[in-house]
Amino acid sequence: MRALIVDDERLARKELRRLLGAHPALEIVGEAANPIEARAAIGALAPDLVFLDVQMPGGSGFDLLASLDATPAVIFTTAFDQYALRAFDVSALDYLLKPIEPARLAHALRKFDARLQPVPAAQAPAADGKVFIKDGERCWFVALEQIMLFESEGNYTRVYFEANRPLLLRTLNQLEARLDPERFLRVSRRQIVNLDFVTGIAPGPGSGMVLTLKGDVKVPMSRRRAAEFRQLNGL
Amino acid sequence: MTMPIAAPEPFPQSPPIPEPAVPGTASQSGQATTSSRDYWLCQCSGWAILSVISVMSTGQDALGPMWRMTVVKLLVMGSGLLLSHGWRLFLRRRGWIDRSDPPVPRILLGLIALSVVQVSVLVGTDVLIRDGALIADSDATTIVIALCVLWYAVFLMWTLMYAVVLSRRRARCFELEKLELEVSVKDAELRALQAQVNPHFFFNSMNSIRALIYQDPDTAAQAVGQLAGLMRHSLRAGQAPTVRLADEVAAVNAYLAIERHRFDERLQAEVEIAPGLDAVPIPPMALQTLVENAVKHGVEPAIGACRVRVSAVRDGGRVLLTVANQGHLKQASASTRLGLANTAKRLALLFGAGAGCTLREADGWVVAQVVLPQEGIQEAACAR
Repeated sequence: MRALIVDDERLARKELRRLLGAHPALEIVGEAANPIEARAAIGALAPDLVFLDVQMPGGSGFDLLASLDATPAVIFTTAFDQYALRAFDVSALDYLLKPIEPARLAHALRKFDARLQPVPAAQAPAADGKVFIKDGERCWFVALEQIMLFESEGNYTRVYFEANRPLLLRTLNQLEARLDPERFLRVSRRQIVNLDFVTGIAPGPGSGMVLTLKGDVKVPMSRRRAAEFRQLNGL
Repeated sequence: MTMPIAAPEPFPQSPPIPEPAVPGTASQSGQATTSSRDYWLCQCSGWAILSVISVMSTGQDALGPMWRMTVVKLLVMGSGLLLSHGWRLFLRRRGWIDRSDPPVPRILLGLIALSVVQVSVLVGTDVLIRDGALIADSDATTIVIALCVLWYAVFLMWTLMYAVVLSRRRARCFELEKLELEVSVKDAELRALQAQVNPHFFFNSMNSIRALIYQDPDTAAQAVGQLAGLMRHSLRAGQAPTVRLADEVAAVNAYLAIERHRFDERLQAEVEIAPGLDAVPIPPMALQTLVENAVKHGVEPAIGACRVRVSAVRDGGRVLLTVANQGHLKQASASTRLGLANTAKRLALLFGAGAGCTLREADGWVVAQVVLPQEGIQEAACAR
């Protein structure tokens, strides 16, 4: 397992390195002192796991995650960022309070191990299938299969899941390249639908179609896409 | 039949009497003198008005010569004044009037005695001066009873007014006490806030120190001492209104030393205190809070090095405390403004109107400055 340590304080990095010495299975492949270095290191080293400080000069750990195309597995480290953590659905990710308790660290690593087990080692960590979304003060770490609908809004994409509708700073085209075509269908220039959420299909205006999603959300399908869809499914 | 010694027809303004201050309130002596003066003013003017109305109401058909009648009335009013004063002393001695549930039946009985005494005085004077013209009348008993009732009413009114004035005063005192209490609660809250060590700083420091224990035990030991000193100083902030500048600077130095472990070369701090300022009194944590802010808004967000300059100089009679950090002033948030306003208010309370606190940006530096005026420094030093 390859890990990256991101923290702006030299002593904090050193301390985490010392604590991780008790976990020889984990190889520390690099360190970064700010989000810019961290971005470069994640791109170059493709770590399995990132220990990420929440507060850093040049942007928070959340900002860093939100700017990444592929989100690696993350364990947040923080001294006292109750507000930052409250804004964030902490159940989705692990976090450790500094000074870090060795027992808490071991627990977090065990959890990480368990999650990693079923995935073949060769697979990239991004295949974890999660996307990190930061909209204003709120953050989410959502599994892709939980997302019902992506809707283009210029350079942004609105993401529909559960009752949340946050904006993601990605174009719909960027997202489409990452999504599993078996599950996600581009129904028009503006929308991508998760087929698991489709509850009904009806003919729409012209020779188009209208999809009904869970929660009675109606999504029109363009004529061209509808033709492709019919062909694909032998309709 | 006529009413010889008439009590007022439209009931006159009986003397509303103020009461000396309730014990335990501020500026007791001054208030007591004022209220005692107010009492006599009301007493005299009330009885004077009563006298005037009484004398004027003497009808043409009054018994006997006018002047004798007038003399009797004036004497009776004088006795009314004395009796009511005696009644007040009695009420206060017994404590019947100072409480929220006065013994009403006893007071009413007392009022009967009072009116009987007053009517006796009246009859006595009448006998002496007018040869008892009053009781020479055929139905003297009726007249005497009527007079008793009348004077009973007068003293009852007097007592009611006295009670109203008293209760109003008590309500005012209560308000005042409540206000004082509120102020002291606010003050306590502020002090508690000051005594609080910023948890973000505290836990990060603990983390650095733990790293140092393995890497450089001597420095770690030193850092523990520095953190302890800083904690002690901030706890003391909750107790004293001011501290010596030298003590505050020691805390600032301890703080900067700890932060240097955390930020390494990113924090470049200089502290310059002009000689002779050690004993200058300042609000505890005033300088320390500014330095903490400089680190938080200057050093923490900076990727490279950030300079922080702390200085104290004498400028004429004033003392200027300055904390500057490289960087830019962000659009001051509501909380920052509130913090600044609070600090300015505290300074003004302690050091007078010439004191203040400002925050500005100049040439790539954010500069926070506290001004302590000379007179204020002397006063605050005396108050310690």
